[in-house]
Amino acid sequence: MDSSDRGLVPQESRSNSEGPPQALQQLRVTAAGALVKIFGTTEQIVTIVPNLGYIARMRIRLLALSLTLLAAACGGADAVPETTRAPAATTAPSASETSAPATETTATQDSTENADTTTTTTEALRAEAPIAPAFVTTLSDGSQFDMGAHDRPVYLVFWAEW
Amino acid sequence: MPVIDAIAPDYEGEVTFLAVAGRAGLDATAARAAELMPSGSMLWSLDESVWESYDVFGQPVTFAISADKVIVDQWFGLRDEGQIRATLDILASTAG
Repeated sequence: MDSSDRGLVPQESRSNSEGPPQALQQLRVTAAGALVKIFGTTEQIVTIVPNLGYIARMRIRLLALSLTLLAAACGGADAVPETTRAPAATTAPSASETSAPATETTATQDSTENADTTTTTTEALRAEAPIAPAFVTTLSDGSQFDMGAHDRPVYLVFWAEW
Repeated sequence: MPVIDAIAPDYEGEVTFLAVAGRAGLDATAARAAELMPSGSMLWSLDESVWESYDVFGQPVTFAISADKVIVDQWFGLRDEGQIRATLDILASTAG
């Protein structure tokens, strides 16, 4: 049997009988070299991967630390408003319940509101505001103005000529 | 004061405008009143005893007094027309 004459024989049959031809040997060496190269590369990758893992772990630790700090900060931020909000929430209703008339009064005086608000405000003010002292004064035309007997609202201005 | 004097005619018959002067002589006050309150819709007097009754020590000080003699509002200094009208609307609503 001449193996060189049967160069086109399938590899399996040839390897079983006579071994690989030289070209095939070279191909195998080349492939092995390639595999070694690949393996080497893989080994390098395998070597690098733990390093990357370490770096990644460090980054994850830093990230976790950052997230922990952030969460603590956010928790603190949430906690602060809660403590401040809670009194505000508890105070606001009581304030609105107890001093609602005063609040409405200010709003009404600063801007013209509807008649209902004005009425409510006036009623509330009447309940809390002091009574105007009565007085009698002589007006510029010589007549008398009696505050106690006057039956209209009075817009009273104290002024001086200077 | 000129702002109040300009507004006063709009509340004629509803609100009485009274300017009580003090800390000055009658002639000077009268001259100034003619200048500041030309509309004639405001009453004025020179009477420091009223200042004392209301514990007023400076000027201008304003009291908004309802028809039933309640001090609805009081303030020191000036207010703009909108604020004055808002107060006057409240006062007018108390006229009954």
